[in-house]
Amino acid sequence: MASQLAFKSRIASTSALEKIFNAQEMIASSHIAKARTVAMDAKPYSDAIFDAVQALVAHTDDIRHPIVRKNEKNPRVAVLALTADRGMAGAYTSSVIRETESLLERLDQQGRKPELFVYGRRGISYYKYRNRDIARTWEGESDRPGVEVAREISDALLETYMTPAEKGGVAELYIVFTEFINMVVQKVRVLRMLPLELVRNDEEGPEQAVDSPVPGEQDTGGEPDSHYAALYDFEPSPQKVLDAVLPKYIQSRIHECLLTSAASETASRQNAMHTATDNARSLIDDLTRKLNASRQASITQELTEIVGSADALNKEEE
Amino acid sequence: MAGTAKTSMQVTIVSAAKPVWSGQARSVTVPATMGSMGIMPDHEPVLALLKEGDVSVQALDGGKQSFHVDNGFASFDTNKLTVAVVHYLGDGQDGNQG
Repeated sequence: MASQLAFKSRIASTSALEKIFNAQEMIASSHIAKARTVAMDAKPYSDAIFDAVQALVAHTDDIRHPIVRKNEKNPRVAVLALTADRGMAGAYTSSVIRETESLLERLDQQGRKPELFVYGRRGISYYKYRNRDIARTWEGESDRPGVEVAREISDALLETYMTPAEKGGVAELYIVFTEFINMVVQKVRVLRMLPLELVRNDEEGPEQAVDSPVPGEQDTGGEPDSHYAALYDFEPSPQKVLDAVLPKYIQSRIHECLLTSAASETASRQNAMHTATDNARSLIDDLTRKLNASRQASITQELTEIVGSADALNKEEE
Repeated sequence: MAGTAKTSMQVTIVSAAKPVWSGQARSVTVPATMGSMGIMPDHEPVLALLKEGDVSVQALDGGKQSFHVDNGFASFDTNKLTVAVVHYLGDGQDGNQG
């Protein structure tokens, strides 16, 4: 059995760790409130864009925009993986990477040529360490992504998408992100962001909210709003409005993905830290028990020694 | 919508980062790409692109507010005006009295 001193120092270091985990857990739970505020603040804008896109779809007979239709012969596709900047978030980044790997494999099997875009330091270091080709990376603010980073990402991806195939453009864009369902459940999802599928559908009710990206691998463009009048003026022209609004729509969708990923990251960090705190506590309990046992053993040993030597002394006197 | 003319409309101004203003207004002027565009209640449905400029709102109580915006669009439908912009750059030059 190890010495009491060793137990004491292990208990001290474990309880220091426990304090750190506990603090991390509390930090994460305060970040969740912030992430929720950011998501709520961004929602009116994405709703407005969504309504505008719906109005455009309802009032334009035939949308001919590359964002909606694209040359299918180009085998190159872009894959954007949204990972965390920092660790201590449980399986958050590794599940995204696992899903990304299987998506890349699927695309490879289909004869596509995937190009990898990564957001988040953890994902970047994973792929850099393995010497994989990354087309472009972004990092910073993965737990509270602002509008700026969303714009950078969407600008770069739209540019890649709009580039002609012979100059290295891509035909499709997939996003691997983590959907925030609730504090306990977060799901990794793959979303085909581009080309956009705009569905004109006047009867179905709202099936999914705009802030929860469409489940499955295909984006259906969301639910329609039914009350658009026949008269609708587009200034300066429908085509120009389309040109301006569709990229904004993509940007706001990407921002939504970033936000729901950020919420998931914070939630899984909180869960991971909660588990770590619990583990540290049970470790401390275990160590304390062992320390007590070892102290008790040494006391017993001392007593036996004293009694034994006293007996010996008594015998000598007799 | 047809019938009695409305005297006010619901206005919402949102930027990509956060909602900026919302309330009832008597008239709104937006900096459309083709030139300034005034929108009154019961305007026909419109979706207009905006350039950099001031969105000025004539509120119901007579107060006037103005917002300097860039790169967005305004959409008016069923007596609701939504101004969605990428950048909200602070108050406009008219000053805010509301």
